[in-house]
Amino acid sequence: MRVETNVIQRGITLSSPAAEPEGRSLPVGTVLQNRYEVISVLGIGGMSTVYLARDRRFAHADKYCAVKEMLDQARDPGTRRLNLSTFEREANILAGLSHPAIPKIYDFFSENQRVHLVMEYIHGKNLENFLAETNAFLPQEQIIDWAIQICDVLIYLHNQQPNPIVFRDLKPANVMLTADHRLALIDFGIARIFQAGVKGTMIGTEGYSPPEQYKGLATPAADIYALGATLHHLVTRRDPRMETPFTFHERLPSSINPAISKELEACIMKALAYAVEDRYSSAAEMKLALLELIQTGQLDPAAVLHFGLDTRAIETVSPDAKPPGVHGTKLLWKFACEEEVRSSPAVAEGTVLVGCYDHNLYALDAQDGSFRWKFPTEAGISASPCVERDMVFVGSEDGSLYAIHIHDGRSMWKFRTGGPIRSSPRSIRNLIVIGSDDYYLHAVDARWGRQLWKCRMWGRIRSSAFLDDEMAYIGSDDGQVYAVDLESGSIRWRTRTQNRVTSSPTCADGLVFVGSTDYHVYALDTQTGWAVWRYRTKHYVTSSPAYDKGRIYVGSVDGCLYCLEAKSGQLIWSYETKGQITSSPRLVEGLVFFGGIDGYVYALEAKKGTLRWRFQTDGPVPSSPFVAENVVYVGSMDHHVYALEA
Amino acid sequence: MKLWRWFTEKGATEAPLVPAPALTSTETGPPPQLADHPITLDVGALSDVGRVRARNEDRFLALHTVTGSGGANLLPLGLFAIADGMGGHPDGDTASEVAIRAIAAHALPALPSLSGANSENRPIQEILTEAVLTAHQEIRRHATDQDIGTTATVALLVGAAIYLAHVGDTRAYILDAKGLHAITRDHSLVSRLQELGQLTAAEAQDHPQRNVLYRALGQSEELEVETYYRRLVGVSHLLLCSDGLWGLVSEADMTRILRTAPGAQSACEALIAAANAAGGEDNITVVLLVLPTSAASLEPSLD
Repeated sequence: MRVETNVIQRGITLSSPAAEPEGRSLPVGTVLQNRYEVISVLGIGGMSTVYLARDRRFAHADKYCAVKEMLDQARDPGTRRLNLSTFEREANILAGLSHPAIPKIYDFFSENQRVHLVMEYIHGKNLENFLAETNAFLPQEQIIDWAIQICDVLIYLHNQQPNPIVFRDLKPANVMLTADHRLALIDFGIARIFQAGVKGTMIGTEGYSPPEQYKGLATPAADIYALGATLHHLVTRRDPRMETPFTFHERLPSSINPAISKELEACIMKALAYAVEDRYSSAAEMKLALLELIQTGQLDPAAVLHFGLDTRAIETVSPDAKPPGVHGTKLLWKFACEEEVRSSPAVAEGTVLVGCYDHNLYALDAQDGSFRWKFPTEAGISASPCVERDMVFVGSEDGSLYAIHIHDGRSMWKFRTGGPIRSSPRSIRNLIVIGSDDYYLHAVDARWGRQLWKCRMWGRIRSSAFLDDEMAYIGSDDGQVYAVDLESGSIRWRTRTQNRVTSSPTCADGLVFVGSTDYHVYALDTQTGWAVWRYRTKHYVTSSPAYDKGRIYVGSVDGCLYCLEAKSGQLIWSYETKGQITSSPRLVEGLVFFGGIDGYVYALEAKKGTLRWRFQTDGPVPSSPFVAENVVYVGSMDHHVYALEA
Repeated sequence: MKLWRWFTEKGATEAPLVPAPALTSTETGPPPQLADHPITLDVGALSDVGRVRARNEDRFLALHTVTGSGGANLLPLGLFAIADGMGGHPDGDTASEVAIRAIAAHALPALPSLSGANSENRPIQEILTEAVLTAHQEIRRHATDQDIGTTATVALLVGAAIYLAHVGDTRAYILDAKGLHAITRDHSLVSRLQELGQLTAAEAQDHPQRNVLYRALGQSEELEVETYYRRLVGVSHLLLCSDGLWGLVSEADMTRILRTAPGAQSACEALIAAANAAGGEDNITVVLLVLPTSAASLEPSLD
């Protein structure tokens, strides 16, 4: 097992000779064994250095070779002797190999307490450098051709008798591309013999080795995995050493390079299976699969061995708009109002309560949608009612907050504010809290409609408050989110966003979640108001977040519903609709319900954001669904209130 | 005043007045109050070279104060960090030193209560992530032709909340009634192999590559910083430590030491002594916060 870090391995191929540390490599002109004259340094690593040398035995010809010099790190003389004999044994095996894609071993010797291996010098460029000097994706045909060439070498190595030879360290840096377009494998993992276990923290992983190789298992299946990793790097241009180890499956080739066919992708990913038994059983089997790609696919054989670089633009893959196999849901009833229903229904005591732009608050029978009563206000109702025991509270654009008896629609009291009301009332312990366009957050006694306090902000208040035991959290058009003490109406803290806050906060886990028209969703600390994280969408966030089981669900005017991790703001999934989302999602039993400006009411699986059903209304749905007893109640701008089976 | 009891005591709300810190404006809020009981934390910190290494390449930071950011009661505020420079690299301590300085220099002025009320309210996780990324770039500037690198685990405590930014295999642990839990995830090869079920904990413990990280400051251009947020509900201790401690001392022993030590500093001494007794193979660094014991029952419920 190699213990070199990739940092050091990278040094072999990437660092120019000029950048080498002083005093480690032999000066140019040094002659080893009275025969090999150092011409230049080809590569340098922590444990070994490779020189280009001229063989002076051929006095009248420029006969070049590569000399790999290795330092034995072991301190114990016994271990050193053992290492040397292991090295000699392996060098003898390598010297017996004969394959055009494997450099010949000419000689080995020990000098200056270092071990040297003299090999055929392969003139060319390794694939890592080749990648570094280009910036477009390679043609798929090129990749397949290379893959087949490497399979051929692996077939040769793995079929050696009595034991298969495992290359152990297949990666782009160890594959040379020669001037005549052939590949050769260089740097057999022989240097590992001299490496002692390294103490102390090191950086870097090998990136191309399979998981089982870290248990000391190096089998032909390890080379197949490493070939898969090498091909993955070549097709995606993403260096696996820069990624979290063993995450190839999270970066499917076609998701990065759309020109890659699903068939080649399947081939690469099969080689990269975690479990040995899920990979190709041999390099020969993998080669067959690759050959089949050429024969059955629409690949252009002329493109093979073509080095002109592919400059095909990367197309962004747009998600299929039409979800397969998705059903609608059952319409239980619908009720026609005289105007648009923008607000969200509330359901209590078997009654659906919903405000309408026709100035009325309607009370409908939750069972069948039959009309119970309506309560007229003097302007449109764009906010939602709240119900406390047998009282319904609702604000109207006429500027008043109304308290109405739920059973008969009788007016109990009316509280006038200084501007239209587009905020929804919230109640706790006989206290109603509601914002108004008059810049005030009002606290009103639920029983008598008397003002308890009011708190001035610096803009209209169209957000609705979230109440906990002692505080109200609310946003304002002044761009701030406020925490207001429920007892005194004093501001505990306020936090600035970059634009109006019409979204309504929700709280969980000590955090306040709220959207802003500065495109962000914020998480604020309930104690201090300090922003913990924010997530940027592509447009206004006027939808109010919903919290469920450590996740936040929120819509954006950019058309997506987002599912974020509540603690970190990391995106878990997003679901794209055809219009804006201003409706606020509701979470019930693993489903997310929300309306879209595209006219649909959606039900998604909360876990992964897959569509369960959607239901088309005849107008945009800015209303937020209310879900009770397996029924979704929602309004639409087509003037209707719908009851749908959840 | 339930929210603020966390660091004080039940019934401590009628407290003497102190002048407003006025870092964040409050129009109509009551003047800040200082609780009867001190809200400063019991903080300990200690670093030791160990028994094998010649140099200590670990660095740490432990700064704590109170903030009036809430405008009401003062809250404890602390910035803690730990960095383990890469062994074997020529300037392992350069990287950890630069990291700690850069993190403090970047994070402190950006904190909301210190940056003025009218500045942009930048999320704490962004501030901490940027602090780590700034340190990362500083190290890359210092690293002329050597490869240097370091881990970094940064913790910001505000009131009852802890924010972490983390890269590498230094760790943050919390201790509660159930025991010791690592909050951070090691960015190491063996922990990744464990996640994949390829190695058992015991195999990981003795693995020859157990010290190999796949993510560190000062290395490749791109750096992904992990962030965490926790309410310290029922938590008695917060511990940051380098692998010189957790690699040698079992979690059971760490728990026992934390629970029996009379104070934060003596706990740090005992932890380091335990690591040295187990061989002291690496530098050992610990930063420890002992939180008020009454914390458990005082967290606000937000239903």
